[in-house]
Order: sequence, then C-alpha cells, then structure tokens
Amino acid sequence: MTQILKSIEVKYFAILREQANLSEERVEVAADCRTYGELYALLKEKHSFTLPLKMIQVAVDDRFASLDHEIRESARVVFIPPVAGG
Amino acid sequence: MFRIQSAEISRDELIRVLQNPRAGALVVFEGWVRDHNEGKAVSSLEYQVYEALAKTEGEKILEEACRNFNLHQALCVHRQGHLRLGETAVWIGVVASHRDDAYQASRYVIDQIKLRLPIWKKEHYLNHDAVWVQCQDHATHVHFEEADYYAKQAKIVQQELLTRAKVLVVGAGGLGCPVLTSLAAAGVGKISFVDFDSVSISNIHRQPLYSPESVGEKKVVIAQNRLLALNPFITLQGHDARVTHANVDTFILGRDLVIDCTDNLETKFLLHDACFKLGVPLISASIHQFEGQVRTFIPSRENGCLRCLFPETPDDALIGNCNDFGVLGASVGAIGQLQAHEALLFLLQGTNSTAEATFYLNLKDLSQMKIANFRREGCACCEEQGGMRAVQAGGVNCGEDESLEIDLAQLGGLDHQLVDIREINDTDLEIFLHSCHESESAATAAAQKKIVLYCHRGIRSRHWVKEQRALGHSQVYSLRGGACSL
Repeated sequence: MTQILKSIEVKYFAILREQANLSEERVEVAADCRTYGELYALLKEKHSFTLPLKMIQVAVDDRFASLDHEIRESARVVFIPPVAGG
Repeated sequence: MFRIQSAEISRDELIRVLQNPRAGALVVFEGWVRDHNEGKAVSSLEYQVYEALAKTEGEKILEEACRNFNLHQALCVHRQGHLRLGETAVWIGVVASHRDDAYQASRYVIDQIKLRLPIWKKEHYLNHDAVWVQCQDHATHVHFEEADYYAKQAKIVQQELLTRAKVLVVGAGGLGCPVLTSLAAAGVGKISFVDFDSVSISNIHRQPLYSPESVGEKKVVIAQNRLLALNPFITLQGHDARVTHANVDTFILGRDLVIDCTDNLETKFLLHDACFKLGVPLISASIHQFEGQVRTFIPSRENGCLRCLFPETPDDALIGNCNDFGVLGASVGAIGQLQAHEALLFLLQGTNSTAEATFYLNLKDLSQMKIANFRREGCACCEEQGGMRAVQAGGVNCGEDESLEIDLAQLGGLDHQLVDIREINDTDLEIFLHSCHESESAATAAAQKKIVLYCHRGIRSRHWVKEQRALGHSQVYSLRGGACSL
C-alpha cells in the first residue's frame, strides 16, 4: 500500500473543468508523485484530459509556478490551459 | 488599474478616470464580441477567469506598459461570464504625453493580455458545438525567473553591472539590430534607442528584428516589441526621431555609454562631438562591404578622438553606405556583434581593447589590424574635454562656468535643498524646478533657498544648471564632483 503524504486542492478552468466535470477537487498525493507535472499526468489519466502536459501551465497558491517544482502540502493548485483573453 | 467584472463596461466612466492635464494622448482599445470566427457564425461568447491570478498578472502588465512607454496612467477592464454579440469584452485606455508612446503601449497591453492572463473564451456557434478557443500560438508561454534567464552568463559576468547600466543606441538598422538584440538579451537594464526610419523590404536581409509584414512600419515600434518579447526583464525606450544638433544632448545625458550604429558620417561626428562635450563614452562601428571597424572613445582618457584624425567632418558623398554599395547581412551582423561585445566588456570592466586601438577586420580574408589611437596636439575637441575634466576635479577656474557649481563646504550655513537627479527624467525635473521657482518667486535673491542638483559625476546636473541660469534662475547650483563628492 502506498503511503499518503500530501493533501492538496486542485481547481479547473475552461476545457479542463468540462472534461473533469468538476470545478475543484481535493487530491491525496502519494509519495511516488513528486512534481506538479507528474500530478497532471495522473489527473489527465483520471479525467481523460485531452491537453498534453506541454500545453499546460501551473499556478500554486495564485502564483505561477514551474511544473518541475515539488508538490507542497496543502497547496492550492490550478492547471492552466492555453489562455485566450481579449 | 486592472479589473475583472461581470457587468457591462461603461467607457465614459473609464475615460473620466484617465483625465490628466499633463497627458497629450489617450489611446483606447475595445475588444468586441464579433459574429464570426474562422468561417463559423458565432452567436455568443463565454469568458471564464481565474480571478486571483488574472488580477495580479494584469496589474503587472499595466505596470510594465507604464514603465516602458512613459505612460501617465493605464487602465484595463476585462469581462467575465456570458457576452452577447457586439458587447465589449475588454477595454484598455492608456494616456501619455505623446501619441507614439500611447499607441505602442495600447498594443503591448492587449498582446500581453492575450498571452499571459488566465482567461478562457468559449465560442458558441449557430450551427456547430461550442468550443473553448485554444490558441496554439499562445500555448508555449511560460513564466520564468529573471535569474534563470542569465544563468549561463552569471558564471562569467557580474550581472548587476549590466542590469544597472543605462545605454543609448543610435540607429536600429544593420548594426543596431545585432547590437540591440545582444544588449537586450544580456540584460542591459535600461536601453534607449533612436531611429527615424521605417522598415523597407530591402532592409530585412541584414536587419533581422524586422520581417516582411513590418514593411512600412516605424522601426522603433517593431524593434521595441521584438526586444521586449526577447527579454521582458529590461526597460526599453524607442524614440522615433532623427538625432540633430538640437536634441543630441538630451539623448546622451544620463547614459553610461552611447553606441553609434548609424550609417552616415554627419551623425557619427555629431554623436562623437556631443559625447566628448558631455564626457560620455562612445563605441562607434562602421562597415564598407567586407571591411569593418570598431573603436571605443572614453573622453576622460587622453588618447585622442575622431577630431584628432578629421578636424573637419568628411563629406558623406565621398564614402557611400550599405544602401549604395551593398553588403551581406552576415558581414554587418559580425561587426555589429563585435560592437555589442565591446559594449558589454566596457560595461563590465570599465574599459576594453578598442579603447586603446581601433580594430579593423576584413571579413573576406579575415585579416585584421589594430591601429593604436593617437592624440593630435591642439585638437579642440580633446582640449574642451580636458577643461571639463579639470572642472570635475575642481582644479581649474573656468570663468563664468565656475559659478554654476558649489561645494558641500560652501553650503554650510546656507538654506539649501540637495536634489539627486540620477533617477529623475528630464520632464519630471523640469516640472520640479518650475514648482521650486513658483514657490520662491516672492523672496529676494539673497533669501532664496538654493537648489543644489547632483548626478553621478556632476555633468548632467551642470548642464541643467546652465540652462536654468540662462532662464534667469540664479539660485540653482550643481554639486561639484556630483554624488562622488558626497
């Protein structure tokens, strides 16, 4: 059994919100999932997201972060699909 | 101010907020919901916004625009929720003293919004399923740390020296493109550049900041956008102007280095003479077909100037330029890169090898020469600079000029205000001085508070005091020796 290490909150916008059919969820992150990039890969499989990782940015606690950063306990994570403001 | 709102945008109210007696131009951009996209009939639009991040990022974009385009104010409102055809989805208003700045800033703000803000748009069509607009062009934009940008040069240079440097580049053509690109990419913190030209199709082979779609547009506008996209961590200011006797000093004052990327002797000599007069180092380059040369002039050193070689400005008609004789883009690019390299070394070390000898490179056979600089006895240009040096050192009585300056010791018992003008631009300084004169106009000359300006070495402040004296303001002084004497 994998030990649960971190509990985080994930928010979705636009196409990710529709494909997950959720605007947010709480996710328990296992020890073998280290970075936000790896987390996206897991969620992509879970919700059948169509966007590849390279088209995604991540914000942690309302600031842009790197997908290579290590996941922090209690982080508020937003995966950001390509934007189209204006 | 940046705002996200669900309610309709009221343009009159926004324009009232932007009213400013100092502004000479307001440019407004409105993005509307249109009835078609890529051949499909659109019935409405839906915007979803990640509000917390959009607000901080939106404020950042407006701050960047204010800083880079001399704005008095910038305002942007973006809608969220469901919008009908014809409604305004985004409203941008920018005010500046001059229209060029306002036009450029408006364009910058909308481009950055589309690139950076976490705002998504769903298009609803008449005859197709609704889709979230995924713009491929924007997919690769990522947010980076400034330190990471310079990581590979940080091992060999002290980045801080480049970051705080203020450089003027004259000419954004064949030499200017590589110089501007390399200086911007290296993180030279404040770059201003001047060019009066528009892009023509025959420029592009040697001026790779431009592309065929920019033909007819002002070079400074295209270059500024390209360079800011290349390095968003620096401050850039393009001036659409011709350098003349009347304005050359205002471009040079306050700069650590001037880089001459012009293609004509008249401007080269004009820049050279002004740099010697004001004591600002200059790096000049030129190219004729396959032969290029680079030289650095440091006026405070006594190793000669261009006037030592050519007391009279040679006639441009005698030599021709790239347009007349032709040149390979790679040739002018190579000389431009050498010039940029010498500029970076100068900023990092305070000197470089072309300050000692002019470097000549023949790109056809790669032969090279270094010809030691020499100083001609009796050269008026060098002599004037010599006088300037003596004044800075406080050692020579220069007649009327002496009274422009004052020492800390002399200020002892006098009512005075010391003003550091290093970070104050010319416009703001003028406004400040005007307000000083207004408030003191009732006092007698003897009772007036002395305004003592100082900059790094006391050169720019002296220039200002001279102008103020000419206007009859006798209570303005320059601090002898500048900040170095404090």
